[in-house]
Amino acid sequence: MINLTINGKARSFDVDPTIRLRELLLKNGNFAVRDSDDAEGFCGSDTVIMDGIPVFSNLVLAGEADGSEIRTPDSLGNSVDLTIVQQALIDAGVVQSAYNSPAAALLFTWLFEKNPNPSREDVKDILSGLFIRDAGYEHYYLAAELIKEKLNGGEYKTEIAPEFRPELKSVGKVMPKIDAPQLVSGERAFVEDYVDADTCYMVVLRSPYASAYVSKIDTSKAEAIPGVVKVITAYNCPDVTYMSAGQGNPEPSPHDRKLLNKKVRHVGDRVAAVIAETLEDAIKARDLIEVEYEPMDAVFTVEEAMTEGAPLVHNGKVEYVSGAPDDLDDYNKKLSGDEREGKVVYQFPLQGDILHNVAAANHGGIGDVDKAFEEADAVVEATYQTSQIQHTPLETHICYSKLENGRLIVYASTQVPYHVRRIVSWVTGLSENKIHVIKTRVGGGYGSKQDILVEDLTAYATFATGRPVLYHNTREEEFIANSTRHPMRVHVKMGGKKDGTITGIYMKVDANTGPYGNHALTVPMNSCSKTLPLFKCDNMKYDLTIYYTNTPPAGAYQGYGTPKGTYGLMMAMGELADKLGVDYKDMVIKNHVEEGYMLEILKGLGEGREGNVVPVGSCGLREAVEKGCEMIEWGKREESDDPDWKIGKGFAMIMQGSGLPGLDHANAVAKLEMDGSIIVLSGAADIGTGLDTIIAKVTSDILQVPMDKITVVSGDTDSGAFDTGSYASSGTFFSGNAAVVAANNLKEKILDEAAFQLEEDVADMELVWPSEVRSTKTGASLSFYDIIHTATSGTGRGHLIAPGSFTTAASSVPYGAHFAQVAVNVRTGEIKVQKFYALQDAGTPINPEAALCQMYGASLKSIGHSLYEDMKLDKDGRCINANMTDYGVPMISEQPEDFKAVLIDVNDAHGPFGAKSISEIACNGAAPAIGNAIHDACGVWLRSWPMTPEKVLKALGKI
Amino acid sequence: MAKTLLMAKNAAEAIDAKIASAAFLAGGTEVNRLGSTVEAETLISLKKCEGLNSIKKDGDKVHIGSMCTFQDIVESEDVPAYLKEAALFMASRTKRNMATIGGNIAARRSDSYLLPVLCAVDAELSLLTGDLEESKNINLYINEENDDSLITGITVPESVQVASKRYANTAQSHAVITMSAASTAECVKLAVAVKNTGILSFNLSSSGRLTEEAAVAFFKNYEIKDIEDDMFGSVDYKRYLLGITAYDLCKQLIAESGKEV
Repeated sequence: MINLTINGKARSFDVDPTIRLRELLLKNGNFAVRDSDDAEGFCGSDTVIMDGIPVFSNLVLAGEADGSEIRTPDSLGNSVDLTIVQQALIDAGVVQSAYNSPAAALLFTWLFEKNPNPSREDVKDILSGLFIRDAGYEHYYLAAELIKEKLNGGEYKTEIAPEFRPELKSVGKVMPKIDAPQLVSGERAFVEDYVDADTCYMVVLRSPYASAYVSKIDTSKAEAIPGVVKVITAYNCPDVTYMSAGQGNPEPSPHDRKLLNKKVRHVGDRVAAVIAETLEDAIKARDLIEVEYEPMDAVFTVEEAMTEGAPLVHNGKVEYVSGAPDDLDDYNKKLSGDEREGKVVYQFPLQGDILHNVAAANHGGIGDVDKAFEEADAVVEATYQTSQIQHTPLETHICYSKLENGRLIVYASTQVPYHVRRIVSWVTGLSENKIHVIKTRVGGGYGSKQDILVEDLTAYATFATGRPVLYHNTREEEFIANSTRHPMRVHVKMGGKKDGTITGIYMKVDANTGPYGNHALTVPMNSCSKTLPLFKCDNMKYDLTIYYTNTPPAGAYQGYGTPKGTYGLMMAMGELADKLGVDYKDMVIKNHVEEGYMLEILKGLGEGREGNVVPVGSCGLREAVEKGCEMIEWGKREESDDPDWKIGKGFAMIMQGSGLPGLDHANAVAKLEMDGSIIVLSGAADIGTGLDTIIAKVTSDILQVPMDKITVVSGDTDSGAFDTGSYASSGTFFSGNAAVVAANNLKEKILDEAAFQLEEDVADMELVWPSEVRSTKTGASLSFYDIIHTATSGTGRGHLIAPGSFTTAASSVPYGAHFAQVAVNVRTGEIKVQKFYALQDAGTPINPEAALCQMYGASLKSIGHSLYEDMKLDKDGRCINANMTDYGVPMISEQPEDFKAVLIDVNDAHGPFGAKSISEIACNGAAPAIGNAIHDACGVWLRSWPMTPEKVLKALGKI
Repeated sequence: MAKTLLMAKNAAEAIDAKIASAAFLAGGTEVNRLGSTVEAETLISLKKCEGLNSIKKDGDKVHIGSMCTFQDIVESEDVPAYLKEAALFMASRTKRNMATIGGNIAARRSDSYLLPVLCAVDAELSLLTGDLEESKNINLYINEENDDSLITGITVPESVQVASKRYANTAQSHAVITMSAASTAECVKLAVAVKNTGILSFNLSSSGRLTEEAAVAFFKNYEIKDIEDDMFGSVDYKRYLLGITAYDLCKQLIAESGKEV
């Protein structure tokens, strides 16, 4: 018997003393003690206070804790009674995807109980065991200041964030994110919190080979284990070819995936799924499945994939839904036609050529680059290589599904609930009305949850067995079997005049999509479409080719291909400026686009179709550059006290988009409830970024209703209307604008109903804060309560409900500039990012504090991509650092000491209340800013990610 | 995963229970972590052993109980600064709250946080093997494969001059190189942990004059068993770091002491 005092209450447990303390706490209902690293002792989601000391509960055996006092995050306040610490974390804006927010609240509580006046170093120390990917760490320091102020004087004195649009009451104001109380207090929020006690567990048998046929599979021993419900293989599941990309439908990606495979195409590919009563039984059964493989040669790089005669990743047959070439039959005769290969189905032509491992391609440009290079005073040409990077969301991919009255209920941690429903419909054959997808809160997405990577198989398992099924990726599976950032080889040729004018730009991008083509075109396309339009240049050309290989799969990742394209272009511009003897800033100023410049280059850069040629809209780029240069003292040479350390500065201009005009679509429904409060049913998928809060804020300002009288229900395919989802920076612009339309429609209905009830002209009606309609003619007024009460009486005209639908051809492009000051040790190669300034034009920042945190989070993440993160594969394609420690994510120790995020105030014409996107663009600047700064410091160009000390030493000729 | 857990009350009980299929469990950050190489049917937890978690100063020596955590070391007024610096190489505070000095030594990891500094200062280990209590130089201990003895304490000198340096991808990553140099009356002792290779020790006499070029050249050519290119770096990189760091640490000691090596 193990006796514990948990949160002040004595508890006894008759359990195996070798189980982990966390497992015991889960049995006790302390589910906010979470797990992000499978007991690696890294992420800190499992932090508890044991006998007064913070520990990782996954590294403590239950028996070791016997007699101990345990404190868990749920011992703090709840969502209606928050503690000062919890409230400060919310107010500072750090409670975003929030998987680790309860642990952060616990650690801060412990810290302030020990020391009510902690220093910055104390805060850094206590957070050193906590991995934060979404918001970075900077505003945790702010939260600590807020706590101190609250404890000492009862009021905050420090400004949390600048506010915008003084004429509005909610938009642009610092206000708590509406889901933050639930998240910070550790209430039920994530998929794992909604699992029923009778669930079955699913595990997946994965391929040990990078390329092989599954020639024989024997599941009899596995099925013989009592408790095993079913073993699914390619031989007993539907033969449906689809793809995992959750984007518009049809989305350009080739359909080349199946539930389970007869040919495996990467180490970690799905071979079989086991559903069992317990996780232990499922794992035991998985180990008993006997598989005979026929291993084949594999390719791991674009260089290998493009070699004539290279092994083919897909060697079945090609089909087209539309636009099939005339010679398709002849083409297919050249492929093996082996049934185990399956097929590749293009929705429309993408210039794919699987006979040469080409998944898709695109070529285009404007002007004459050859002539431009001839006319240039200098031309530079270089190749920049980016690495394979994992998203590492704290909440690994998870899905829980069950049957209710013949319907599949799917709890998903997803960015795209409607696409989950569509793909589950495809693999089960159920119509979409028979599938209910419930997007829970999402513990980190960053693009990885734009792919449907676990929901298809989990939902099918429930459909096939009739049993509730839980599937949860291990951390290793996140690396080997999910999606990753496409490794890209970006070749840039750039010519310029002595005065700094860029005459021509050529980009050749070769992208590695891995074994499957999800987002194959769209992600790499962004390396050109979200970079070339930064330049006021008449001669630009691009050649883009995406190759299949046998690496772990690539897919969507925050920024798509833009960080890679930006790295290549801005580094090349740095090299050109250096060669011409022109100051980099002068070159930027001379060549960047301004409002009204017609972006002809976009014509060929649509996502699988012709792009819209539009002029540059609202643009804060110049202001970001000028302000950033002032902040970092551009042009001033910094000297270190230590001669080994050389200091340099660099920056990069950046852009992104705000959704996909002409492709994306969002809907919302606004309802006036019986007491005058408002419920908005939105199709949006808030993944922790504050999208629900944005919807509430725009509704608040349009309807003149206080925030606490508005509830947003989103991400539920039964209650909301269709929304393409949260990707491509579309949330604020598309889902926010759909809420604007719905709120404006409801406003019209409320005014009309008030006029009817007051027997006045609707033209004389106006909304008045809070929740009233007043006649400008008579002064008569009605509260929303009065209006809806009468409208829904037996003689009324009925419930006031208004839909809103949003599509557009307009583009709202966020711009910015990111600056870095680095110190490079020319004897050891070490690199320190001393300063990092992110300046961005987000239009009207609707949630300013959350916006800043997203800029910090994405910038730190990108510093990680630039300097530390890299999935390393051995010669057989096996990822050898598929864990957090060896992979190398940045944490608080890696954060620059001087880290600033600045919002450039630009009011956009098309965004909701002038807003544009904020988060994704913040991934784009770090690599070129740091790369240029390294050159400025020590004179070497590091042309590949990650930029490591070893590469510095090699470039300096030291090794 | 172990089948049984024994909570030892004291060192004698722990050593009595130590059979081939059993392993000692100290702070848990090594044995209980993902990817642990420790396989045992029984884990003998030392967490509640009496007398293993005190820090005492005795003249120029400091005795540290093997179950003292890294954070205990950081917070102690008696522990010399050089050892605190090495303890802080473990960047995670929560992990420092759990990991113990004894556990870190017994794990004999090639990316060890503490072994380089402890080897450089010739720390003495108090060991219990069966009924036998003995004292052993840590440099001898790490080259033995006897896992049946229990480390009960570590004794380090207080006033020795030490310089250390750790290289890792991020602060939380495993180190590729961790090196410490300690200045003694006769020589400078270098100890270095090379990831996936092991712990190496060198005595540098004070008879010659060390130059950067000589240090780099020495490690470029020195025969190091099992050193290979791996995901932590190339052999060239590791050897270069060894040379440059050896020089830097010695230079630092010289600057602090005025001595020459």
